[in-house]
Amino acid sequence: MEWIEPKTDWLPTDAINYDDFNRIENNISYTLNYLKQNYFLLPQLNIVTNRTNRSIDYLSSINRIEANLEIIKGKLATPIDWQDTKKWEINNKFSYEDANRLEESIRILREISSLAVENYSYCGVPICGEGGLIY
Amino acid sequence: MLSISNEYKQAIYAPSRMVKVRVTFDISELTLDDDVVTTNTSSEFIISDKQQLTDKQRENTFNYATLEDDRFKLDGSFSFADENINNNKIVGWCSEKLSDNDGVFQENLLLTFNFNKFHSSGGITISFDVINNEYATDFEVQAFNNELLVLKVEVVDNQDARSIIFDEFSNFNKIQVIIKKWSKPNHRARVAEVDFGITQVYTDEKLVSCSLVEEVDLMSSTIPVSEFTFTVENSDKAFNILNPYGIYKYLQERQKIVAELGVELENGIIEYYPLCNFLLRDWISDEGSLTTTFTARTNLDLMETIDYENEVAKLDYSLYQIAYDLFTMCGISNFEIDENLLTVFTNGIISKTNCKEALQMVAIAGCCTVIVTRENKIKLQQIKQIPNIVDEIDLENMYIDPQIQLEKATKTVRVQFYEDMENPDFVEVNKNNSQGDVLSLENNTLINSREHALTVANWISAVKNNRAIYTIDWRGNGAHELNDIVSIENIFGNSNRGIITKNQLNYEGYLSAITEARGEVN
Repeated sequence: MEWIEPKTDWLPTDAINYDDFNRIENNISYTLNYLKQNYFLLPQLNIVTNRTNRSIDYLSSINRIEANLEIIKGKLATPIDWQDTKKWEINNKFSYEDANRLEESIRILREISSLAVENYSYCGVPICGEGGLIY
Repeated sequence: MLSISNEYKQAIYAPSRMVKVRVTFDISELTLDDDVVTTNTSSEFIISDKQQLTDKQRENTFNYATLEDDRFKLDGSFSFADENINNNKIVGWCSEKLSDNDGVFQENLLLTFNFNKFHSSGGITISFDVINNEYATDFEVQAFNNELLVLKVEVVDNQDARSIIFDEFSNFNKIQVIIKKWSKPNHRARVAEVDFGITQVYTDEKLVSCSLVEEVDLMSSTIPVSEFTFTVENSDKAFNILNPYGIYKYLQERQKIVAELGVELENGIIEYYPLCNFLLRDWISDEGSLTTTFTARTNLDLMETIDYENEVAKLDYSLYQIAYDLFTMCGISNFEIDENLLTVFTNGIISKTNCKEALQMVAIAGCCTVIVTRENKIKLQQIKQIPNIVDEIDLENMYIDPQIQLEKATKTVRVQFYEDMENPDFVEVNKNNSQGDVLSLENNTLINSREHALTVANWISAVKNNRAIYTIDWRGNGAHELNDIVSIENIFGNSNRGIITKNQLNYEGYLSAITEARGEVN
């Protein structure tokens, strides 16, 4: 599963389609797998990436996406520019701001995942050099 | 006060606001309403309910997001549906199949309606996806007399989400709508409502003015009738009596008129709230000004036309039961009776009168107000606890300073009661003030004991404390309802508390209001 560059410039005049939601969840899956491959303990998440133009996302779907973001973030330090996730209820309106937030959130999570993995100090491994720790 | 969003509250009192009124006028044969026996359709999407095609709801409650090509706009108008389908309220009918790249359905979509009786109509109105302005561009309407095709109307290149097919639909007992092409490629077809008559929706383009007057008498000494009046442009002479092709001949008393008041929110979306759901009372065309004015009233009008009399004393008969019997007798099912009336008993004797006056006697004997809501629900309501202030009317929103008038004080309240129908007795409640009127309640034969009369007298005495009558000429808020408690700012830097007893909302491209409220003298 490859990373797909998020779209973070949604406008009120845009329409969001099935492939956009697939991309958001694809990137959640990518980040989840990346962390797991690097020994972060994360649960198996329910992720959907096979939507078509015949599909429908219910309240439970959008709440699942938000919850997945929270679970990944929970394994990392909260980024400074993180925007809180939402709990969606009936007749809560979804706008371009929400689309931008979801896409931006997963982009941030991927960034800090990389940083977290790069800075991971393994027990018994000597690390030395400028600015680094010496064990 | 109507339940409103925070966005509405901000928009209604914004220095600059855009208010709209939408009037839906259902010019259908009255007997058609309850006569659709079966509704059959082509296969439905999961968020769909074909039974809602004839429920008189011409727009869905919420604008549900689905993932058809470029449908889910990010303008803040869409929300997510609940998996529990019942929570989604009005969803209308939605096809399982999508149109192709040209908007064409490979197989025509069918909506079939069967009736018990034969009907005639001057047209059929189909409300497609009005919220998103999507519609069938090519479709057909067929009328059948049993299985014999009596009329077929083919529509090509339609461009209205609410499409009216004017034609003589005579003696039909089956209607079939055949959808062939949709306005958007790769989308499902959506139909919110099929009206077997002409349903006109008037907005600013044809709506010249409208006005809603609603009123309550806190003491039920009268039962004021709410009234909605609207004037539409009639330059096409559709409502002229002599026009053989007009729709005047299809007008009938008690046809439904639904008005909504909308406010444009910050995001550009207009949020609508109910203004009235009343019944047509009369109509008049003004040849000079090329306008037609319609007046709609509530079910109370109907109660006035039906006589009531009971000369036989009854046992264990509660005021609740009398009110229930009165509504049932008038064929009214949209009512609410305060449950406290279940424990107020009477012998039920009422000399010949009409049902509205009998209801007034019940209201007074039960210490109730009679309110007709905007949904035409008649409510008998005791107001025991002083409710909280729901809104503030400040000077910034008033055209002139609020006017205050003091009603005469009441010294004594005297209430007659009928333990013996031939020799009524009375009780008196004296207020502390030495000056004032003596208020006398007589001829209410539903009050049959001294104790009951005393309760009524004390209630009247308490209601009469609301002597201050405030009249506010202001910008108006369509969400205010009768019996709401509001705070009214005055020019002396403080506010008075008042209960709304009259609301007159006027719309002529902008909203204004004259609100009357009653409160105690400070």
